[in-house]
Amino acid sequence: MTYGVSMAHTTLPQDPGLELDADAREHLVAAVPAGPAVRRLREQHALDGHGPLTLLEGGEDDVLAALAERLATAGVGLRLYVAGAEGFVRRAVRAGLDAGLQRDEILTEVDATAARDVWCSHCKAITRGVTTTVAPCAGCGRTLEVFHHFSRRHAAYLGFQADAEVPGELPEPEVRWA
Amino acid sequence: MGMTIDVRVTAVRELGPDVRELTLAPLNGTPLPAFSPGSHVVVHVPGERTRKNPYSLACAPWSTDAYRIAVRRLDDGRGGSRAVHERVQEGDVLAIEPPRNLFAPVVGARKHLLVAGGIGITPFVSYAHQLVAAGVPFELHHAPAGGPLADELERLRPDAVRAHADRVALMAAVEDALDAQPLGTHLSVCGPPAMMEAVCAAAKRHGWPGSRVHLERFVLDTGPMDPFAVRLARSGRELAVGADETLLEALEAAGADVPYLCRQGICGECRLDVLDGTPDHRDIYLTADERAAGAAIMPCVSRCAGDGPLVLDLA
Repeated sequence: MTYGVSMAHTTLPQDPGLELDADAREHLVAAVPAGPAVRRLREQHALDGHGPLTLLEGGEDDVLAALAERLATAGVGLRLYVAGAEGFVRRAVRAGLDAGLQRDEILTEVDATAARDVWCSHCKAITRGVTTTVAPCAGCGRTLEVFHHFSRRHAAYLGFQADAEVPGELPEPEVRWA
Repeated sequence: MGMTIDVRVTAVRELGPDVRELTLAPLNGTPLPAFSPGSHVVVHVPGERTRKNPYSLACAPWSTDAYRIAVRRLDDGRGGSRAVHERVQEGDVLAIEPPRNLFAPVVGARKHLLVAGGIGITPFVSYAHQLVAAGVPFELHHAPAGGPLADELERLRPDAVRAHADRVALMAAVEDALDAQPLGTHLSVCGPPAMMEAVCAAAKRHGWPGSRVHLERFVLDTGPMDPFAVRLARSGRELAVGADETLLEALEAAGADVPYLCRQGICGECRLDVLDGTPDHRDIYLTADERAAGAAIMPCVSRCAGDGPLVLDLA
């Protein structure tokens, strides 16, 4: 279900999966937890990767901090591989883009929860780990509808007051991003 | 096609044995259009036959009082550059088309790595002026040392411009530079085809994705210029394309109104439908599938395999 969005043309995040880019001269892996996708990557690297492969380890926040530090001194030729929960993947991609990577130098795979981070258009707070199409805002408590619009800057989807048109008329929440 | 601007040649300067720089100023004092870095103008070069040749603007992008172009003499070309060297004099009036750009620098690049071979340095003059003004870091490697325009760029940013004696020294420096660029750097290359291929191959070896590599092809390998026949299907007219002209020039001489922009096989503007005959594709615009199908041709550079006739969907 994509709300009638054409997946061929959307700018919504897409995660085709981790495959080693054998042309890269350095491979940096941010995966929390380091699951089967990372094992596959290591196997491919052992076969035909040149240049070092580094796995950043720890919890999401540790890995994101280490990632920003590594990228600050990195050079062109590096590929970033990101795997984990949807919210983590989005934040790691943002860290990569902020450091000057292009989107085609970042490979992504969501292999844990698909729960989304939602940015409230009213109070600007970000609610982490939203699994339902309608959910309360962690900042202001408004009931938000999660819209199919993604902000690369906020690394979050747009949420707005679900009954803004007709107060009190709330759509039925539906679990969509478990 | 399109509007032209009349300009006066206000200065002619020899930048070396085979490179001549023209300064082109507007006739009536009306400022010329400002342009984006990497732009070129098509110059209508007078001669027995007018040649419309694209030349990079080798001056600051805000040079609206006069443009400068640097023209290398190519004796095996179609005569346009030779005419610039032999016929054009200070005081002459030339028609140029407004600036266009097929080689604009990537907006948002954190740094630019620029590589130039020979006369391929021309587009980087406008780059360098813009990047210096905007405070964007860059590094320009060029060969040969003492080539045209290099002194001007060295004065602009002595620490960023590095001259190399020859192609071998240039490639060695480029290999080192490719390994030492911060994330967010873009590579732009202009020079002879073999040099550009070598830089592209090196970039790939050093892990640069194609999306960070940008090329200005100012000379295509044109191959032999054999004459061939053309038939315009809608009118039944037959034309002969001579050894000294392109298909596009022959069509223009015959009064066919074919739209064009770059005249170098890059932009795709002059694409024509081929109804019969086998094109000899020399452009870099058509896809491999389109080339194989042979149903389209870029007449600014491509020709006919054999004597023809090449049958075009034109009147």
